[in-house]
Formats: sequence, C-alpha cells, structure tokens
Amino acid sequence: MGFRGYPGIIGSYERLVSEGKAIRVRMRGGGTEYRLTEKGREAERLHFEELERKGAWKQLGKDFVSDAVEEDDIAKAVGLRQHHLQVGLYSLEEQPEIPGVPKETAESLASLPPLVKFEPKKVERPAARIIIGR
Amino acid sequence: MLLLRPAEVEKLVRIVRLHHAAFLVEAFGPEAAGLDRASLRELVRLGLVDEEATAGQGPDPVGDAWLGGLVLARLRDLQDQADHLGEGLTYDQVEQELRRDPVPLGPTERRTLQAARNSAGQYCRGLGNTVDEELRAVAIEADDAQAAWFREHIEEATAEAIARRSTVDHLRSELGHRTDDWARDLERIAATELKNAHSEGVASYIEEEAGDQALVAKIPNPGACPSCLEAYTTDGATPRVFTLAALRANGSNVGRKARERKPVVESHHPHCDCELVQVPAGYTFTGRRLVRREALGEQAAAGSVGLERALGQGRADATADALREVSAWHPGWALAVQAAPGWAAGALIKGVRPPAGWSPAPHSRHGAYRRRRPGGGWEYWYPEARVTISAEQRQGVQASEVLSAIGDPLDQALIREAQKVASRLGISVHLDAHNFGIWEHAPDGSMTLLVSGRGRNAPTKVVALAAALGLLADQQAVLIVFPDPRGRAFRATIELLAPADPVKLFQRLNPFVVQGASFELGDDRLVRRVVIVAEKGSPMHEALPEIAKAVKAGYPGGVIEESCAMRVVFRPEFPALLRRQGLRDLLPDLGRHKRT
Repeated sequence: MGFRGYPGIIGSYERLVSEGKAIRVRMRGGGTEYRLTEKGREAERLHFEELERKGAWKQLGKDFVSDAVEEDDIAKAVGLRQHHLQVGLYSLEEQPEIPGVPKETAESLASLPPLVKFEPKKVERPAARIIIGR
Repeated sequence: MLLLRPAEVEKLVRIVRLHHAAFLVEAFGPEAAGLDRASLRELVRLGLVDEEATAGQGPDPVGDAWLGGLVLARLRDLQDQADHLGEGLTYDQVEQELRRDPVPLGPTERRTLQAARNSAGQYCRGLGNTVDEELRAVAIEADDAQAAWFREHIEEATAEAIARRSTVDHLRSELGHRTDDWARDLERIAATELKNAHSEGVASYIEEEAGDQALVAKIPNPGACPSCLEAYTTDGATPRVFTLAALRANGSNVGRKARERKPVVESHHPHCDCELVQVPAGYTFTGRRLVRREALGEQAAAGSVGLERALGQGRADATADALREVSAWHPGWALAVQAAPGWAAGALIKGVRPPAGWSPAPHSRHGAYRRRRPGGGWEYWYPEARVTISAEQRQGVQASEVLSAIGDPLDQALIREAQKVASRLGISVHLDAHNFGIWEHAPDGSMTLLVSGRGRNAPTKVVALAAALGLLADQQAVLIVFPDPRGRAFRATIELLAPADPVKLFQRLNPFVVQGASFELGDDRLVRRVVIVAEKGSPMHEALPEIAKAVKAGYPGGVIEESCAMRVVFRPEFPALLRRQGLRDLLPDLGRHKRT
C-alpha cells in the first residue's frame, strides 16, 4: 500500500521526501509535518505550467462534456458547457460539440442567470479529522 | 610527435566497431543490429560473420530465451494438471505433449519477440558507441601523458624513446582495464536482456491464456537484493501479487534510479534473476508457499496456536467468516491474517463475542457484557483479545476493486473500535466519509473520521486515538488534519453539483492532482465532494480554481477552504502515545486487559 508501506497521502509525501522535494518536520507535542522544499514547489510549478501550455485544463472541461454526452445525459452536457463558458474555461470558438444542440452564442450566454456568490454554510468546527488508510 | 596519428585512431575504432557489429549480428540478428546491406556484406567479406547469420538464420539466443519462457509457463500449466491428477510429470510426457500441441507463435508474439531482439540490440549498440568514444579518449589521454612527459624531461637525450615506451605501456594497460569493463558491461547487457526476453515469453503465455488481468508474482531468488525484496514481496518472503496489466503499465526500469524502480515484467535491475509466475485463480501466498485461498485461514494460522485454534476448526466464528468473505470478494487483494500476540492466544479461544444470554453492559469502558446472577446482581463477561486484521492492498489493484471494498466488514469493525477508544478518551468520533483517493496517481481507499472534543487536551487525545486506530488497522502511519488558522496547509472541498462516478472522475483528474486528492462518497458510492489537502501557497493550491471550473462545482468560485495543520503519527510513536493516554492495554505486549 502506498509508498514503502505508507498509506495514501503519507506515501505520496514520503516519495517527495525521498526525491528531495519535501522534508519532515517533527512538531512539539508529537506528530510530524511535511513541508515542500523549493525543489518540490518548482517541480509542481513546472507540472502545472506544462498542463497550462498543453491546454490541459480546457481539454479536461471538454472531456467532462463528452463524458456526459456518452452517458446520454444531454442536459448535463449542456449545463457543463454553459458553466465552462461562463467561468471562462474555454471560449465560444473552442466550445465542444454536443450532438443535436446548437453551439452557445454570446446572446444565449447573456440570457443565462449570472453566477451567484457562494456563501459557505456555518458548520461546527471539529476537533480534528483522522484519515486512515485501509 | 603523436603516439597515434588520427588515421591510426580511426583505424582502431573501425576495427572495434566492425567486431562489435559482427557480435550484434551473431547475437541478435541483422535487424536488431541496425546495419544496412553494404555493412552486412562488408562483415561477410572480412570473414567476421557468415552468410547464414546475415540472412537471420544463425543462432538466436534472445529468441531462444523468449521461447524458453513460453515453454516454461506452459510446463507449469502441465505440472499443475499432473499435480491435480495426483501424477508426476516425466520428461517424455513433456516432450510428447509439446509435440502434440506445440507452442505457436502468432503475429503478436512474433512482434513481441522482434521487439525483445531490438531492445537487446539497441543496448549493445549503445555499448559499442561507448567503446568507440572511450577508445578515442584513451588515445588522446595517452598523447597528453606523452606531451606532459616531454615538457618535464625535454633535455634528456632519450626522452622520446622513453616517452613512447612508457606511453605505449600505459595505453596497453589502460585498454586492458577498459576491455575488462566493456566485457563486464557486455555480459551484464546480455544476461539482463536474455532474462528480459525470458520474462516476456512467460508474460506472453500468461496473457494469451488468462488475459492481462491475470494475477502474477515474481519469485525472488534466495539471496535476492533488498530492492527486489521490497518490490516483489510484502515482508521479505511472501511474494506480492500483481495483475499482469499493472506490471506492464510500469514499463521498464531502465534509466530509473534505484529508489525509483517499480515492479515490472522484465528485469528489476541488471542481473536480476527473479522469476515471473502466474498465480492461479483461487490461490494466494503464505510465506513462499502457494495455497488455496479458502485454506488461507488454516495456513496463516499455522504459526500461531491461538489463531489455529480460533479459526482452524471450521467453527462459525464471525471473524473467520469476515476473513473468508472479504478474501473471496477481492481476487486482487490478499488478506493478511496477523498472528495474535502470545498473550492473546489463550484469550482467543474465549473469543471476542460472549456466549448466548449476555447483553452489553451500559457505559462499560472495556466492552463488557453482563447477565443476571441467579442470586441477584450481575455477572460480567469481558472480551479479552483483539484480532487485528487488514485487507492489505497490493499494487495493481483496479479502481473498481478499491471501490467495492470500501465500507466492508473490516471498515465497519474499525469504526466500532474507534468509537470504543474515543469513548474511553472522553471524545467522540464518527465516520465523516468513505474516501476513494488518488494517491501517487493510483486508486486507494481510506476513511475520514470526524472527531469532536473540547478542552485543552483534546488534540493530544485525538493523536492518541489516531495511534490506536493505526495500531488496530495495522497502518504504518495515520494522518490527522486539525483546523488551525495558523496552519501551513489547507483543506479544500469542491462540492459537485451532481454526483459523479468515482472511477471516471479518477481517470479524468488523475494527471492534475500532484499531491493527491480524495473523493468523498455518498451511500450510493458516487462522488459528492473532491477534497484536497495540501500546502498553502503551493502550485497545487493555485490550481484549485481550475479544477473547480472544470468539474462544475456547486457554486461559483468553486472551493471552500479551511486553514489547517497536517500531522502524521508514525507507527514507532504509537506505543508512547497510547501509554500517555492510559491506553496501554491496547498494546499487545503488556499483558492482559485491565478490568473495568
């Protein structure tokens, strides 16, 4: 399980430590914290830069739309495409095709209700969450 | 004056190159040698290879190793059949069987075999280039040495003669050493590539017979290196079980650093001699022995009198049932049954469930049961042992298998234990969510337990609870996320507008989450929320809005963030943390439980 027997997120951090991309910091009162090193941040930055360069975010959005089309859930596909256009994930020219549904236009987008500001609900703060691997 | 003129160096290089090319043609065939027709004719003209070899009709060590692998895999099948019938298998029978039903090579096999030849040829060609370069370097170094000698001894009459003799000696000695190195390199490449071809042959047969989801293992040689033991065994002896597809997906370890090597079909490292075998359906390993899965309980318990007595007598015990049930559900998972510690062996006979007629004692700190004593008052019964069981995930487990195991009896048992321990600590705990995680770009199951507690000591109690759970679930470490406005991490929740299929979402988001992510599942096993815990200000943090945009979060802006601190408690810390909170009875080596 995980890296060298460490579960999930701990395993992934342990791998980063072994690659010099993170360090372990022992905390007073028990427990250990992981911190990314400069090398780790740079590796992450390069990863996301590469995704950005390849237009992977746009493609991700389009893939979700095509998944919905494959599931024959046209309403979901249309909703996703409108959402992606509203939040600017891709432009009107780049929008994916949905069979039997005309492409969105500037006018059709303008007629959609505007995005509302999200107010998170107040929830009771827990003492902690324990994440335990299987 | 130069020791060797450029033309002479080139001549030497050409001699080496021609002999190397001849070796390539002889060993791997003309295609893998990558030579044109003119070069092949030149080799024949110089008498370095014969016509047969250039026509691809010479010896074929890679092909032989590959076919050897195929035949070996086939033999294992025959041996299994013979064992099943209670008969031995003689050489004559093997020969007869192979004549009756020869191992055929289809187009795919032919292509795989040619790929094995090409791969071996490619490494040897690479070595040839290294030899060329090193030969030139040695000649240049020799000239440099001679020039330096001249500079120091220019006034001596015999300078040139001595210099030349000394430099020739040096050159001869240096070439001798290098030749040894080259021979060693060549031997290493040849041994490793032949083993690769052999393993590919075995893998091809298994794939042909059972598909790429066939279960396989690599059996390390006695005296195998620590790297192989870590990759291919669970505890240094018990072979790890993979799907063939998972090993293939890991590609090749060529060019990977030792610590980055992954379990693969071909050699784990140069000169690796671990043997790829198929694990038949319904079988698994205990130690180095292959045993029937249904017999696992008895086999695993053999080392522990307590477990043998508890599980081996075929009685309808809840634990034994759970073990067998979980084992049967997940062919890709192997069940680790841990021998109970000595102190628990006797107690196991008593079991963890009371006999009929007992009811749970209210507010008992140790899970007591009670019944009316005939003369009045209560008689108490205490469970005296815990069996730690864990469904240990093996590499290559598919996302669908992880999903189907979430919330199984083991998870449920762990939640019940968590509640018992939390109650003793004066805090409360409940299941927050079952998680389907993407960690290290592979699927992984986990649970998030939500802990509530007040007071200054609450954090230390939470840490102790985590340690207890780590111990009970046999984890190497447990992660705790504390809400902390000054923490270095954040816990981001992206709530989905509509429930999503976890496997599909996994496939889509996998490349995008560098520090991993969890999907919180609803009762219907569909994803409700994507949760990411990572370091504040990291590039992953900055990428969150893009993920939220793409998945269409249930609100604009997409992400709810909570500042937090991540703490990991490692296994060696468990005992001290438990003792500090009065939970020493959970430790296996401290004697019997205290009574309430």
